[in-house]
Amino acid sequence: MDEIGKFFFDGTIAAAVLPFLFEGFLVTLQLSVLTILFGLALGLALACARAYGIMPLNLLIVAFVDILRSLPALVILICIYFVLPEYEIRIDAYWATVLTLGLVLAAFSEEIFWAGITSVPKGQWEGGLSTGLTFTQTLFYIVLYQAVQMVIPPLTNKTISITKNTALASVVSVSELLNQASSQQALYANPTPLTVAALFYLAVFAPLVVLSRHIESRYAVKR
Amino acid sequence: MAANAPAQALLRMRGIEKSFGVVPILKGIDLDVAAGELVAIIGPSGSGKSTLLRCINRLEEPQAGSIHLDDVEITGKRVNLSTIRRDIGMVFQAFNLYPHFTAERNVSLALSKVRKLPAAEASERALAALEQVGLRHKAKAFPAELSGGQQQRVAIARSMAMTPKLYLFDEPTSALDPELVGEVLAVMQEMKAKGQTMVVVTHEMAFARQAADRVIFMDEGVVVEQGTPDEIFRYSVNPRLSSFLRNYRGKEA
Ligand SMILES: Nc1ncnc2c1ncn2[C@@H]1O[C@H](COP(=O)(O)OP(=O)(O)OP(=O)(O)O)[C@@H](O)[C@H]1O
Ligand SMILES: [Mg+2]
Repeated sequence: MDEIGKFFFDGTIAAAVLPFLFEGFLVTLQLSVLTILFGLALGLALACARAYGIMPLNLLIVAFVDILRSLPALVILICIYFVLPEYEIRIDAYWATVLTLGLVLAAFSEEIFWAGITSVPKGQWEGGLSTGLTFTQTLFYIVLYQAVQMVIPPLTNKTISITKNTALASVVSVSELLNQASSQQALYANPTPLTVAALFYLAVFAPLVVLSRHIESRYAVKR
Repeated sequence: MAANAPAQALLRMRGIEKSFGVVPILKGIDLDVAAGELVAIIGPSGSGKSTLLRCINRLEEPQAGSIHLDDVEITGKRVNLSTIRRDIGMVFQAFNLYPHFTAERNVSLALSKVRKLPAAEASERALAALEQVGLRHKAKAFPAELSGGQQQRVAIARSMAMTPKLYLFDEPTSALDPELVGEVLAVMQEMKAKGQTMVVVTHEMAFARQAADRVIFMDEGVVVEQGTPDEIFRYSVNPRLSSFLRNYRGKEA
């Protein structure tokens, strides 16, 4: 039993690989933060744009959202990283990952924000409009807050599950956490680096999960 | 001819028609409301009362007819809806307060964003409006912390603060527990006493009888009968009105 434990977590190896994994951890952290910022901002912007009901624009938004939600993130990443260069569009692996995951998160979060916007009672719009607020003012001062408040639980879930896909960046050889861990594992022929990597992943995402719980209760809908 | 014409009414509606899909809801409504008048609109459910009211601030678009408020044609093609609506207060059955803002912010929002008042002045006017409905002490409360009657009074204050030329009320007391109806009606009585112009869709027959200058009875998208409260509630022989009122007395008894 102890032998097996030692196999998965060998202290000497763990100490030796720690600096490499820490570097990978920082890259993963950056990728995650950038993905979340870019993805949620774009998702919210698209949902707001959709609220104006401009037909050709809405068709484009829905097409974008549905396509990105149907394709596996890995396929999108490969397209962006390997296929775009054929058309003289070159993006380095790091930014290709951010772009991919950001677009995927934008698509899913747009749908969630949109569901929030449409479930704000019509009376809230009418209350605002009847006092002379414009559509835009009503959207931003009155509707959006309530919409976001309602969708925080599904939104945080999706955000976390999509952001975890930063591990895909190892495919295009970004030296993020998983990539570092697998090369170290190959070097030592021992799974300890992967165990340490898992702990690092916990260090990134467990706080996010806890934070999301906190946000959920803090902004729970009061009526 | 012009010399003999009566003073022009504040609100003038002519030939208002509205249908949802193929179903006609308003079938050519003419209605004048003079400045300072309180007009009560009664009628059975589905007769188009709310739709008519909502045409006045263009929450619904009438398909035919014209509406004038003072010299402004509300139904004009190139009107600015925001400009029109800031001069027409509306109070809803469901209050429609903003749950994420305090009572004070509910009232001051349009003052700062529509009237563009500086923050201090907007807040001062909001507090003054809350004072008028007896809720200055609740300025920092959120809607969820207020009773239904208090919420509706805040909603009235929200309209009042904008100093509109005309107030529209759509069944302002219908969502309230019976013991909370009085406080809202009292505020409305005070507004009337101050000379405000009000159009009130209501199921409170006692209120219509006692506070209205004129009562309009609507049924199936037309104005069937109109007159003073006495003319409507005591002397009318119109069969549709009589049957509507009988129905009511039955319920109230
Ligand atoms: N947005 C809408 N789309 C389709 N039909 C509608 C819409 N709004 C109202 N109607 C219909 O128009 C008719 C008149 O509605 P309205 O709300 O004006 O009646 P009301 O006189 O206010 O009735 P109540 O006393 O129940 O409030 C109803 O039959 C209603 O179903
Ligand atoms: Mg109605």
